[in-house]
Amino acid sequence: MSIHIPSEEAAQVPPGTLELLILRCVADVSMHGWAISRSIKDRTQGTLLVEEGSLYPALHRLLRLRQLSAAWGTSENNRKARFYRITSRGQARLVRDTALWARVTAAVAKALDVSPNPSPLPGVT
Amino acid sequence: MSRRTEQEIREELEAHLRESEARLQQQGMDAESARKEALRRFGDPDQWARKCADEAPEIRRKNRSVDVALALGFAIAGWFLADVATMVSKAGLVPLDLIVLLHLAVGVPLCIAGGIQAVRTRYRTSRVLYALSGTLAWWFALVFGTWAYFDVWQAMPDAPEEAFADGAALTGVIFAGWLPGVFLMGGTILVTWLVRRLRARGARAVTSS
Repeated sequence: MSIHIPSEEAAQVPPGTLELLILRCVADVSMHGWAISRSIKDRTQGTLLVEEGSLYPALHRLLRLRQLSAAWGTSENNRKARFYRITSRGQARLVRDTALWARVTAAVAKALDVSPNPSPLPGVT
Repeated sequence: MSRRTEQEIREELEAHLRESEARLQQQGMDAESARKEALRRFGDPDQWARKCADEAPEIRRKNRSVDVALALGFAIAGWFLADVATMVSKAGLVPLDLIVLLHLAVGVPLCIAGGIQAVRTRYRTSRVLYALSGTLAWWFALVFGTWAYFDVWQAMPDAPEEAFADGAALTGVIFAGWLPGVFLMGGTILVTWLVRRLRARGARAVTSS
């Protein structure tokens, strides 16, 4: 099942959502940008990364906030790539924001009177 | 340092595009189509490189320093140029009626420039600095202009009684003179913001078509 969300609406997702997903992707294993974008696309069915390039400003923001660290290495296809790893600060944010996210989505779902696993809506293919 | 960071960002984005191309070629696409498709999925690399560079701490520091220097420049230029306009006025080179206008010819462009920069900058503190320094440049112009106007008027051989009512006028512009500057600054910020928004919308429409 894939959900089509127009790019204008994708831009309206809550701030910090992409950063949280990045932290989740690299929580267990270090990844390069392309692999992170693939992982996020798979996890969100392409909802958030309308353009793959939008991942990189978020990665660099997380580097600036010292929630990620980066090192150049070689990808599985033997190409030069920059690998990202979560730091203790990033780990702390991931735990905190995941709990917050769960509380907020549950509260909003309750307020909107929808179940967390809704039935297919128009536009869902 | 910032050049190295920019170079690294470019390399990283290029690495992503090469990886995408390789995967698409593995799926049977030819090299040219793969490159085009990779670019389509990625978006404009220049735009993303700029946004990444904005996040780099050393580039942010550099941009902020430029903003602080430029904002201070507006205020200092306002003071200096208003002073020059006062000297020109006192030298008798400007008719009495045009003295305040001459000073405002200095303050208004600086105030407008401050407003435009306040919208263009990416940092909140810089926005406040630009808005303050632009308004201050206007205020200097008005205070210096009023002061010079009364000075020149009083120096005239047949100066009337009103020419010596400079105390009240100066007090007025010192305390309330910044108000028109705030309106000019606010108007400039609003117009600049609207123009940028319309331009961005136009650019998006062109991209999506």
